[in-house]
Amino acid sequence: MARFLIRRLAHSVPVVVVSSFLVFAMVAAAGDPLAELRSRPGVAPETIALRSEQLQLHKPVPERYLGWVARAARGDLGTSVTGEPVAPLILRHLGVTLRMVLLAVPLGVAGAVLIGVGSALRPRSVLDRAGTVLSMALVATPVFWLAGLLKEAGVRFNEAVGRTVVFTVGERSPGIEGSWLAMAVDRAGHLVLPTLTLALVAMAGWSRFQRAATIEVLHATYVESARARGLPERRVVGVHALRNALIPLTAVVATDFAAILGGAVLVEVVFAWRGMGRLLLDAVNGSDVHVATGWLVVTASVVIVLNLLADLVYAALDPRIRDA
Amino acid sequence: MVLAGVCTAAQGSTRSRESNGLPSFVSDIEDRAPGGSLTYAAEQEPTGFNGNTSTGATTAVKNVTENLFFYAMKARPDSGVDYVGLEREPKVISSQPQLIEWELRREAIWSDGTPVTVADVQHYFEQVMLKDPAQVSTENANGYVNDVASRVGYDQITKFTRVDDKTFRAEFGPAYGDYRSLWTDIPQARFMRAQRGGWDTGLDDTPGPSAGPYLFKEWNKGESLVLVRNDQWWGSPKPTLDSIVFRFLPDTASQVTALRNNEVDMIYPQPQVDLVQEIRSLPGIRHSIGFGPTFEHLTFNLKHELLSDRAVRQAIAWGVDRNEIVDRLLKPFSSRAVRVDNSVVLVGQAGYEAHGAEYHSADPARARAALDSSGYVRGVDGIYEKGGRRLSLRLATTADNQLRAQQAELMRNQLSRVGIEVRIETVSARLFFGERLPGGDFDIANFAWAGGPFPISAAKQVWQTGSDSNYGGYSSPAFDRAAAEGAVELDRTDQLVLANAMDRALWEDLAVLPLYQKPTLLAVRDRFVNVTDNPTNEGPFWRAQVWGLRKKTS
Repeated sequence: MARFLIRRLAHSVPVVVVSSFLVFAMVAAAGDPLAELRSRPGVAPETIALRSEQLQLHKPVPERYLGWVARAARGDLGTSVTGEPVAPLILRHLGVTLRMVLLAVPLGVAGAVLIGVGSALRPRSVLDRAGTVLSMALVATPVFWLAGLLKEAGVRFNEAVGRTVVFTVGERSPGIEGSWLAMAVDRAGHLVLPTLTLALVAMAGWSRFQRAATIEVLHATYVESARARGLPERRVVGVHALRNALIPLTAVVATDFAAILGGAVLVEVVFAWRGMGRLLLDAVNGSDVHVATGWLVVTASVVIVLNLLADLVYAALDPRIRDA
Repeated sequence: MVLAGVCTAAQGSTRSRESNGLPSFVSDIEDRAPGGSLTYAAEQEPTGFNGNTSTGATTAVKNVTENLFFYAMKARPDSGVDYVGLEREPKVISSQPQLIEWELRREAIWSDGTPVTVADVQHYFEQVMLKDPAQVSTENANGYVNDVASRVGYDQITKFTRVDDKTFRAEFGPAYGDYRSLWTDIPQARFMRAQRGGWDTGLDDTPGPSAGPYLFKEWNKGESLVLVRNDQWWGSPKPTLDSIVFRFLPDTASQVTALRNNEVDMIYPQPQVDLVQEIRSLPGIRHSIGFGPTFEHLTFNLKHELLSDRAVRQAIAWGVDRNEIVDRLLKPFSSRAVRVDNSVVLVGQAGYEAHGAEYHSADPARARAALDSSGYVRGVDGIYEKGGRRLSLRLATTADNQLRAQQAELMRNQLSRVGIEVRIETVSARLFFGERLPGGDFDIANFAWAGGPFPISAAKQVWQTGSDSNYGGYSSPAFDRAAAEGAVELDRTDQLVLANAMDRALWEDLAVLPLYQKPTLLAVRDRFVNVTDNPTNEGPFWRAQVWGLRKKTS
């Protein structure tokens, strides 16, 4: 098992190194971080020259990249164009994104299991067909568009009830003061729309997967034999079939985690959460090489760890993988 | 560098405001009910509180510090100047050498109870100009120590003298005509001295005591910044709002939804037709459109082989129908949008004169005649040629700007009618301002300059021979002479005469074709009163002390 993990890691590290150089070089080539400064009233040439020197803009890109790698190896991801240390900046934004994801995943799983298992138990029923249409529609809908639709629905809901219950921007109302309960209600009101968007998108694919897995299990010989032994159907499905049908989904969820993070990046931009998505957009727009490259390394590391975790879960559940 | 200074196209206030219920700047201040909190959707987050560092010299910072720090003056919407922090207008003690005296408001105090004194101003000045011979290098010939965005004006002061706690004098060498613009956005000296980060980073997280109508309360990075009422404020009228919340929402679409959903109370986005229509349809929201201090224009690259010919520039000036641009792109949301015929003094500013009369309306026949007389002949496809070279020019502008994309398309069609081919090139703003313009890599560039109530130093930076921001490579003895005289002229009226002389030189040589002033859009929830835009670069926060909740009529 240890050798398996080491092998996987050995594959991942060069990918991170190469892609970090590409991001570094592309962002550095895309523009001038001091462009805005240059276009501002009365900025003295020596001010621009000094900033340019601080940011090492006069040095060739490979040299700047190597300097960055040397510092990054010691855990220092450098500072942003505005002088803020990159590592805490990324951690803060990652925390925001994870908060949305960690709530959306269980919701998505619950929805997927309900729809998937329900459809599998009654194939071609109204529930199955409705579930299929809904899943397909959601799979085909771009995530930012779905987010926009839900946002509009949320605003109309508020207009109908005459007060703001669900919020469309941010994680909480700024400067809000009051009881613990009031704060919790406010936070929840901000979480509804983005979490729902992300959960719906995740649920769509997973429910199809859950349906297929459940149908397969329901036709497995051990289920047939359980039925043949005269066990009640509820026990056959609830204990024997469902338990086994849920195992593959666990691994799929772990593997899909990276994709959900990607989706979250779009969702948070629509709902104005200051998470990883906004950070990347700002870094690219601002030609901020350190932030963009740091972003890539941290995100890639998170994805690698999650994929390893997915492998471990799968291996634990299915000995054939572990031994392969 | 860009056209410097604070400015004002006061057109945005009384004369050209599309009033949808918002009071104009001179109208009475409405009665206010006590309390209330106004949330503003800020497109950008401040980087700190020092508004004169290379990272802090942004509108995002100024919007916050405008109500915190000491200001000797603020620009009014009508391009006049209010000496908000002074006892009186700065006094000219002598003009040869130029010696000016400022007297700070006697009652001005910081929120910690200590008076605002000459020590605060002097410390600011010393930090801006701090030099160390050890720092001298090729990039930093003067050996400046601190990261200062602009030293304009301060670097002309040869001697700073404290007269008493509230009075000081500055001697300028040579003369500096725009001395009225100095001493704004000044933090407390005692606080700055106590900060370990000093000038460069000492104010990154907190501004210290306030000399304005509001106090800094908290800043949740990435989310919001809160100011609360400063009950100790010495000015009048006293603020009544409990707090102003800056909520950081970078995306305009999110801002509008948040306004509709009661999550923010005020937005100040870049106007576009569909956006204005959407805001018009929102119940309980009032909006106003003003005309700002930035104006769109075409800058010609005078080093370009074809554009160095004045006849070609004339053909463009006659070929581009500026009235059609205004009618089609701006009139749909503001009936009072106008063409601007002066690149130095803007519409609505005192002293504005419309120059370039022969180009006020498009004249394709005259455009063609100019090309014919310069030896151009029309090719088979209708595009002029001379010596085998087609009259085909690149029009560079910034990407992701709907208005600019539309006007570029419009100008391409207009110019194709007179036989000039235009190839539109849109590049990212960073590339455009960072490389294309400074590198002279353009034929015609469409972008905006900001004017101000101090037009001479602004225009001088842009069109004086050899100036950094003189991207088109313009050089004119007439312009340079007027600019040099204007820079040392102390009288406001005479300054404006010289400013207009500078613009006449620009029209004579057709170095630049001004198009129109960019509109500003302010939308505010009806519950609040006295929130008005100052379409100079002061913006809507110029007078936040008068904001308040609408008084319920009984």
